[in-house]
Order: sequence, then structure tokens, then C-alpha cells
Amino acid sequence: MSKEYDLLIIGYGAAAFSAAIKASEITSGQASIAMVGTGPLGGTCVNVGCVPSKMLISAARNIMYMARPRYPGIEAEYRTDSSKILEFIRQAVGEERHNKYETVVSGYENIDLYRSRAVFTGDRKISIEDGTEIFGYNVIIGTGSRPSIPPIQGLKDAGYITSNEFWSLEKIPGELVIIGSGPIGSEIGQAAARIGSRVKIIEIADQILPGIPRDMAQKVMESMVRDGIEFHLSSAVKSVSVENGKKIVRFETGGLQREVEADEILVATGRSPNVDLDLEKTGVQYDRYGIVVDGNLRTSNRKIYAAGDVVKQRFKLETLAAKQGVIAAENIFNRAGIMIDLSSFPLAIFTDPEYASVGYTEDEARSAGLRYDVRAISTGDVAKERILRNADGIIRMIVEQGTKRILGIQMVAENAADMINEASVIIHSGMTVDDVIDTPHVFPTVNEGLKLAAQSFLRDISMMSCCME
Amino acid sequence: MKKVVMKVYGMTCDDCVVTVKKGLESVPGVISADVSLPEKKAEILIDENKVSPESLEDAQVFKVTRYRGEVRKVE
Ligand SMILES: Cc1cc2nc3c(=O)[nH]c(=O)nc-3n(C[C@H](O)[C@H](O)[C@H](O)COP(=O)(O)OP(=O)(O)OC[C@H]3O[C@@H](n4cnc5c(N)ncnc54)[C@H](O)[C@@H]3O)c2cc1C
Repeated sequence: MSKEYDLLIIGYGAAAFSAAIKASEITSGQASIAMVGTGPLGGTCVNVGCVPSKMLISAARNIMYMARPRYPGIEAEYRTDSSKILEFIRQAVGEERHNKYETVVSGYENIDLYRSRAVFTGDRKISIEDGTEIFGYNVIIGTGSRPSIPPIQGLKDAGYITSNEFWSLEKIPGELVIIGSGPIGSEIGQAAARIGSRVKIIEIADQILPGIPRDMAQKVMESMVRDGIEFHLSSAVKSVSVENGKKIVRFETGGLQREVEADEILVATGRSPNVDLDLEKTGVQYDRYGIVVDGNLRTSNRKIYAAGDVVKQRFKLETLAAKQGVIAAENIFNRAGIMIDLSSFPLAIFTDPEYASVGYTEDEARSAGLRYDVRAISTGDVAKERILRNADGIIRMIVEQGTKRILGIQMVAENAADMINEASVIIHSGMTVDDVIDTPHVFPTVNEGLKLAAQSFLRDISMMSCCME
Repeated sequence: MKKVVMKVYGMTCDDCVVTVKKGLESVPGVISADVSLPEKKAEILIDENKVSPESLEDAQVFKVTRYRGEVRKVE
């Protein structure tokens, strides 16, 4: 059997859904759309990514407030049951998937859903598992990414989990070794530790969260150490075996051979794009980092676009996938020619404290040869952070010399992920230090930290009274 | 002279057909446009020295209204 659609979307995650909805809106519901995907509807974010991980982190934060109350005169006795937490998360994920994906797609008469793996068989033509061939006059590839597994001797035989399987565990393992301290390993590791797991993280780089500013990574790591996590930095895992029912992870640190024991191993060493689609048959260029696109998200086949984690680009984020899905649909059906500017895209890592960034980091500004000034304040300088007893963070602002235009903002703070949205507006609208200072902020709020960071370019903030404008 | 077949999205009534037809025929180089509501299609005769098939997708009528056009065939 063969079918034809105005738009064929491969994948049914964040990028695919936003593309399908936008394309439907633009064409008044008259574009016939096929969405072809595997696994649970909604893809990574809702099922095994952002949603369950942020719920686990939220549960763990509740525990932290009980374990280490921030005001004197409070003591709490508590017990944790990780199987109940995981069961609750699974249920909530099911509801989220039902309300935000299954119900939504069933409301679009122009969208046909195919639950199957797809491979290209010709120009804009795919075949699915039951042999049906589907042709799309326009195609969007939104096949996302999957955990990449390093070739470690014995790992496969000993068994391991990734962030895909973590959510199906009966309970959080008593002893958990995590290979990799990127956002996924650090977020899950810290939450697991707070819930009661003995967590050991092995990282090949000499800092956690490789790529973020070193002093900020250090702050996050110190907090994770307080949660009981044992770190092995500059350490390369060499082999894994099973002895007496325990998994033994052997690694090398500065020439020394060492080992740690675990009930389970979580591999969190990055993600690879899902490009095993016979893309050659449809003339789409790609490499192991993803599908190559131009500024409009168009691939080397001019009728095929790509969006989300499968694209060769530096970020793998839900918001970016959703935004790119919309842009791909606009560029196809509105011929809008929209370009996406990744340099001002905000990102956050949901450890505690959180790390968030938008625009240039100092290292990037230096490498780009920009003439900049930089200031950093401590969250301890911000009244609300002191009230929250949350003084251990940094807010850094990078400013163009001369114009005082703000080029980049990074922060490590308990609510950095929420605060970065204001920073994102600042960068997107090209605001200067003076614009931020002139913008009234509510007292006391953590976002005053941004204003204070801007003020630090003009004066010594230690000489300012509490809420001076 | 060339015949261009376009898929047209967004048409729901006879008025829509008239708007799309007029819109296409106002493009310099378009000789005539035949628009079908049930088929959501337009068949356009063009003088290819004056207008390219591709640029019909950018015709004003597909920019300022809710209708959208996409070239499907050029003969
Ligand atoms: C643990 C974790 C936590 C995260 N937390 C955050 C966060 O807090 N904030 C944030 O912004 N981002 C977060 N992310 C990243 C975010 O989840 C992804 O960036 C986003 O889900 C990517 O969406 P996508 O549509 O590109 O791909 P996906 O959602 O992965 O969808 C891809 C779809 O394509 C299908 N597919 C793949 N190959 C084929 C094929 N051959 N044929 C048919 N279908 C196929 C898949 O089955 C899937 O349905 C997290 C990720 C993880 C793993």
C-alpha cells in the first residue's frame, strides 16, 4: 500500500508535535499530515526526559528541606520510599502524555498517526514495518536522539541502565554508579542521593558539567558533595564486571587503577542523534553529530527539513526542539525564511543549585575576540537569597565595552532556571546595563540579582543599602 | 508558456476561490488561473519568461490572506 501526504513528519516528540500543530494552523487544518514514530507518544521529554526527571528533582528537593532545614528551630523526621516516588512519577507521566499528546493529536482530523519505525526508500518516501510506503510532498525529520553507550569492556554483559530505563526501576538502587557528570548524570545523581542512594559519579573531564564555567561547576559540585555524592574526576572507566552479585566498575585516575562497587550502573555519557534512517536514499546529508541543516532548518534535500535533537547543533533541549518544529512548519508553509539564533538561546541544568546561561560566557566572548567587561556578584548580595538562606551562588554578566549592551548572563543559584527567562528577554531585546537598572523589580525577589549584577558595573554594590535603585 | 499545478490550502467557499483566482491572475506573467475548491488545487498558465513557477508561492494572495499555495507540478 502507498499513501501521500502534504507533510510527512518522522518522529512524534516535541519537535514533531509542534511542527504538526503549526502546519495545521497555517493551512487551516487542510494540510494532510502523517506522523510516524516509535515508542510512547510524545517522545523523550514527556516520557523519559524533562518531565520525570524534574519530578524526581522536585521530590528530592522536598527531602532536602526536611534533611537540612534552613532556619533554626525546625527539625523533621522523615522516611523515603523510592518505589512510591517512582510509581507516582510513572502515573503522572502517563497523565501528562494522555492530556498533552494523545488527546491533542486525536483532536486533529488532518493528522494520521503511524506507530512504526521508518526508513527512507527514495526521495521523500519512507517505508514502515507493515510494508506501507508513505510519500510526503514536504518532510520534517524529528527523530530525536538516544543515549550513547561508550565501548567499555564488560559493560554490556554486566548490564546497565540509561535515563531511558531509570523510570521503570522498581526502586532507586542503594548503590548507584553514574558514568558521566553531564546534565543528565548530575541531575539524576543528586536527586537519587537525596532520596537515599549512595551515588558515585565517574567523570573523564577535570570538572563536573563539562562546558560550563569552572567556578560555577565547582559550586554545584560542592553542593552535591554535601548530598553525599562521591566524585571521581579526570577518571576514565576501563572495565565493568559482576562479582558476588555486585557490579564492579574499574577506572583509571592519573595512572592509578581504582574501582567502585554498585547495585546498578547509570550510563550518562551523552546522546547521539537518531540518523539510522537510510538518509542517503533521500539525499539528506548527516554525520554522527546529526543532520546538517542551513539557518532555515532545511537539509540538503530542499523539500526536507529537520528539527530538534536530530539536528547537528550544540544544544539538545526540549524548548529548542519545539521552537524548531514551529520554525520548520513556518518555513515550509508560510515560506517565512525564519532563522534560529542559537547564540541567544537559554539553557538550564536542574541540579541544586541550578545552572543557567544565555548568550556569551566569558570564555566564548574571549574566544570570539569581543571587547567586553565582566562582573560577578554572589547570591549572598541579594536580599531575597539571604531571606531564603540561599547565599551560595554566583551571577555573572558579560557586557560589551562602550555600548554597555549585555552579551551574556550565567548563574548558579537555587532558582537560576526560572531567573534565566528574564535574562533571556534582556539578551533578546539587546538591553544595556542601564536598561536593566531602570527596570523596576519587586523587592524582595531573586530576580533582583540580575539588577544588582547590572548595578555592579556602575558602583561597588557592597556600599549600597538594601534595595537602592 | 507553462502549466503550473498548485495545491491551495485554506479555501472553504466559492468566495475563497474567487479571491485566489484574482490574486493569482494579478501576478505579472500569469495568463490565467483555474481554481478548484473540492480539489484544493489551482492550474495556472504562465509566461515563464516573466514569472517563475516557484515565485507563485510568494504571490501576495498567499501572503496577506489565510490561503497558502504550493507548487506541485510544472508542465
Ligand atoms: C533525562 C533527560 C532530561 C531532560 N531534561 C530536559 C530539561 O529539563 N529541559 C529541556 O529543555 N530538555 C531536557 N531534555 C532534553 C529533551 O528531552 C529533548 O531535547 C527533546 O525531548 C527532544 O525532542 P525531539 O522531538 O527532538 O526528540 P524526541 O522527543 O526524542 O522524539 C523523537 C521521536 O522520533 C522517534 N523515532 C526515532 N527514530 C525513528 C525512526 N527511525 N522511525 C520513526 N520514529 C523514530 C522516537 O521514537 C521519538 O518518538 C532532557 C533529556 C533527558 C534524556
